[in-house]
Amino acid sequence: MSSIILRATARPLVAILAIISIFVLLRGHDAPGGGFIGGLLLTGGLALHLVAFGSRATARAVRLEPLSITAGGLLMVVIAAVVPLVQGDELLQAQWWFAIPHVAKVGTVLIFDIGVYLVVVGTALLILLTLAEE
Amino acid sequence: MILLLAVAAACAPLLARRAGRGLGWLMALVPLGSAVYLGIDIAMGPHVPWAERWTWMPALGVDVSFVGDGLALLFAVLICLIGALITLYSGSYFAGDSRCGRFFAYLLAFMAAMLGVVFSDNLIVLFIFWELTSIASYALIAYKSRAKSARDAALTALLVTGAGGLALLCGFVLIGMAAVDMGVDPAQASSIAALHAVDLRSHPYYTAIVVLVLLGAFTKSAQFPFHFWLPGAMAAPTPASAYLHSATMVKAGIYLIARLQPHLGDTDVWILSITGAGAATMVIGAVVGLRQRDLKRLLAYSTVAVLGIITMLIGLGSSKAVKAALVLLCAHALYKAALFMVVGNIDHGAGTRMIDRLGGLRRRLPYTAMAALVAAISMAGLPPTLGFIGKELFYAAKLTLGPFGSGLLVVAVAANSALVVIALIVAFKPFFGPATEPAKAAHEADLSMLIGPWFLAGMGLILGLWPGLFDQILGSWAAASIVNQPVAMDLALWHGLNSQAVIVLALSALTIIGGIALYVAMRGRFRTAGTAPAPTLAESLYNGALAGLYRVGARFAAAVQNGHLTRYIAVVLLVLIAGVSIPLVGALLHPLAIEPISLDVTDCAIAALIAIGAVAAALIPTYLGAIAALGISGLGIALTFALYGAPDLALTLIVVEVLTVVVLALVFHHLPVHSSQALRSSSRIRTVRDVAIAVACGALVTGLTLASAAIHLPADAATYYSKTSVPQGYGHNIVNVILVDFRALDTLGEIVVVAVAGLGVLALLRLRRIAAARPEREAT
Repeated sequence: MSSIILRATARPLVAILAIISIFVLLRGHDAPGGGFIGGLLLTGGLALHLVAFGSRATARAVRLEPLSITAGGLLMVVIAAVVPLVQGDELLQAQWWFAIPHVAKVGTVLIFDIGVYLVVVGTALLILLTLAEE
Repeated sequence: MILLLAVAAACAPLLARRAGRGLGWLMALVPLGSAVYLGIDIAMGPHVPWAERWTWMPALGVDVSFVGDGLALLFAVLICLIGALITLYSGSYFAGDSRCGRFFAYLLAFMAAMLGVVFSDNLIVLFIFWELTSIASYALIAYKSRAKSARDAALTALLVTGAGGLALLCGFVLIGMAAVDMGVDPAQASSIAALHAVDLRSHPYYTAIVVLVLLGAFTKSAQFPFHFWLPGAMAAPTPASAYLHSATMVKAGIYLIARLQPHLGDTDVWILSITGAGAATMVIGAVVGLRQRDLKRLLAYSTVAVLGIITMLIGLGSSKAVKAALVLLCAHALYKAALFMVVGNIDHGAGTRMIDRLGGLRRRLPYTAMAALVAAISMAGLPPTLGFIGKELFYAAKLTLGPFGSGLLVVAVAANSALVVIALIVAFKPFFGPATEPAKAAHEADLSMLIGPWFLAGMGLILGLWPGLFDQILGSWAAASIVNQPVAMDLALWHGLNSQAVIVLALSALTIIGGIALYVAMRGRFRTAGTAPAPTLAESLYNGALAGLYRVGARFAAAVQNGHLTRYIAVVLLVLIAGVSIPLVGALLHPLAIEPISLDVTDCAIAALIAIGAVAAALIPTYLGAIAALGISGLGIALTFALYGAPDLALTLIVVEVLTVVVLALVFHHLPVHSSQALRSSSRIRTVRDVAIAVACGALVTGLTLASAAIHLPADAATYYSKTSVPQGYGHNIVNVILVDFRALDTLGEIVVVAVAGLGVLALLRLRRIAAARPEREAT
C-alpha cells in the first residue's frame, strides 16, 4: 500500500516529526506542548513510517520493544514522584535543579514529562504494531 | 528488621541462580540474625515494651507504629527462629529445583509480613500485614502451580482467609468508630495502645465487633467451621506447611485474640464463642485426623485440634488458662514444625507419605528417627517435655472451671488421646513398624535438613527440663501482656503431691494409656482406613457457593458480553443515557442563564464543516469513507479549540485524529469485509434502534453542553491557576503545569491506565492469534 512518493517523503517527514516532538516536549512548560502532545506527534511520525514501510520495518527502526519504552516511561515517572520524598518533601512535589537557557528547565517535572512522553509513545506504538502485524 | 526481610525476599530469586545449593544457608542468615538480635535484646534489657512510630496517613489516623511487648516478642522469636531453620531446611529440600528462588522470596516475604502482624500497634497496619500473610500463603500453597489440586487448595485458603480478613477489617473499623465515640482522639483511634483508655465492652457496637473480629481470627487459625482449608493447604511444599500452616500463620488468629483480649475479652459473648469454637475444632481435628493416611494431612488435622485447644484456653482468659495456652503454643510450634520436617525427610527419602506404605525406616533414617521420637514425646505430652507441661496446665485450667470445665475435660482427654495416637502414627509406625517396600530404598536426609528437626525437638526437651528458662525469658511477660497484670508462671514438671496435681497427673496417665490403647486397636486398620473423608457441611457449603458464583458470573458475562461490538457500544451508551439524563432533565427544567454569544462567519463555517462531516460519516457506506468524514468533524472541532484559545487541545486533537484514522484503518484490516450491501442489509429494526440511540446520545451531549454553559464556575479556578502557575509551577503554560505539577498524581494514574490499556490490547490480540493458530497446529 505504499507508493514511491510516500516512501520518499516518509523518511524526512518522520525525522522532522521526531525533532518537532522533542521540541514540543521540552518547551511544553512555558508554551503549548508537553509530554503528551510530544508523544502523540512522534507516534504520528511512526504511524507514517508504518504505513510507508510496513510494521516490520518500523519495529526494526525503533529497535526498542514498545513495552520496554512504556516501562521506561513509567519508571521515570515513578522516579520523578519519589525523588522529592528522598529530599524530604512530599510525593511529586516539584524539584528544580537548573535551567538550560532557551531549551528547558531541568527538574523532576521534566523527568515526569519525559516519562509521560515515553508512555504515550510506547503504548501507542504497541497498539499500532500489534494491529499491523499479520 | 521487617524491611530487611522484605529486601532479602526481593533478592532471593536473583541470588537463587548464583548460589544454587548454598542458598538455604545464605538466606537463613537473615532470619537467624533477626532471631539473635531479638534474643540479645530480650536477654539484656528490662522487660519494657518498645515502640516506634512513623506518620503515614495522619488524616485517617493511620500511623505505622510498632510495639514490642512480651506477646509480640514471643511470637517474633518463634517466627524468626523457626523461620531460620525452615529456610535452611528448604535449601536442601529444593536442591535442584530451578524455581526455588521464588519459594524463598515468598517465604521471606511471609516472614516479614508475619513480623509486621505481631509488632503492629495500629489495627489498619496490622490488617495490611495480615492480608499480606494470606497472599504469601496463597503463593506458597500454589507453589506446585502445575497441579490443579494445589491451585484449588490455594484458592480455597485465600478465599476463606480473605473473607475472614474482610470481616476483620470491618471489625477494626468499628473498633475505631467506637473508640472515637467514647472519646479517643480520632488520630489515635486505630492504635491498640490507645484502646486502654476506653472500655469497648459497653459500646453498642461491641457484639458486632466481636463477631467480625472473631470471624477473621477463626478463618485464619482454621477454627471450626472454617477449618477445612488447612488440610487442603498441605498441597504446599513441606517446609511451607511446617512454617506457615503449623508454626506461625495459623497462630495469627490466636495472636489476634490474645492481643485484643484485654480490650474485648471477659464477656459472655467473647468467652462462649471462643471456647465453643475452640472445643468444636479440637474434637473435629482429633476425630477426622485419625482417619487420615497421608502423614501431612494427619499432622494438619492434629494442628487443627491443637489450635482449637489453644483458642479455647485463650478465650477463657484466666491467667492460668493463658499460661497454658502460651506454653502449648510454644510447645506446639516447636514439635509440630519438627514433625513436619521429619515428614519432609521421610517423603524425600522414601518417596511416599502414605502411612500404610511406611515402616522400618529406623535403620535407614536413624537421625530423623531420633528427632521424630523426641518431638512426638512432646506432642503426646509425655514428660519431660514442654508439651507435657502445657498439657498439665491445660487440664489444671479446666479443673478450676467447675461442672462446665469437667464436661470439657472429658472431651479434652479424648482429644489429647487422639493426639497421642497421631504422635505414635507419625513417629513410631514409619520408623519402628514392620519394614515395607519403599522403605528399603530410603536414604537419610543431609545435615541442613536435620538441624531443624533436631534443634526444635531439642528445644522442646530443654524447655521441658528447665521450664524456668521459658518463664524468665518471655513466658511471664507475654502472659502479662494478655491478662494485663503480672503473671507468675511457676512452670514445673512435678508439682508435688497436692490433690489437684494428682488429679492432673492421673488425667495425663489416662490420656496416654487411652492413646496407646487406641493406637493398638487401630493398627490393623491402616491398610483399609483412610479413604478420603466426606466433605463436611461447611466445606460443601463453600464449594456450592463458589460453583454458584462461577455460574452466575458466566451467565452474566454471556448476557452482557456476547462478542458483538455493536452490542457493547449500545450497552455503554444506554447506561450513559440512563444515568445522566435524569439529573440533566432536572437541571434543564429551570431556565438556563446562558450568556448570548455572537457568531461570526468563521464560526458558522466551522460549525457547518463539523455537521457535514458527522452526517457524511453516518451516510457513507464504506468504512474508509466514514472514517475520513469523521476526521473532517474532528478537525473542525480542533479548529474551534484553536480559535478559542486552547492551542494545546487543538494540537492534541489534530494528532489524535490522524492517529485514529491510521488505527481504524489497521483495525478494519482485521474485520470481516463488509461491503456496502452487507451494511445496508442490516434489518430495519436494528437501523431504527441504532438511530434512536445515536439521536438520544446527541441530545444528551447537547443538553449537557447547554447545562454546563449555564453553570458559572467559581471563577477562581482559572484565575487561581493563571496566578499561581508561574510563581509556584515555574511555567507559563498553565495546562502543562497543571498536568505535570499541580495535578501530577492524576497524570500518574492516567498514564498507568494508558499503559495498562496497551497491555490489554496486546493480550487480546495475541490471544486471538494464539487461538487462531492452535487448530492449525492440531490439524497438521
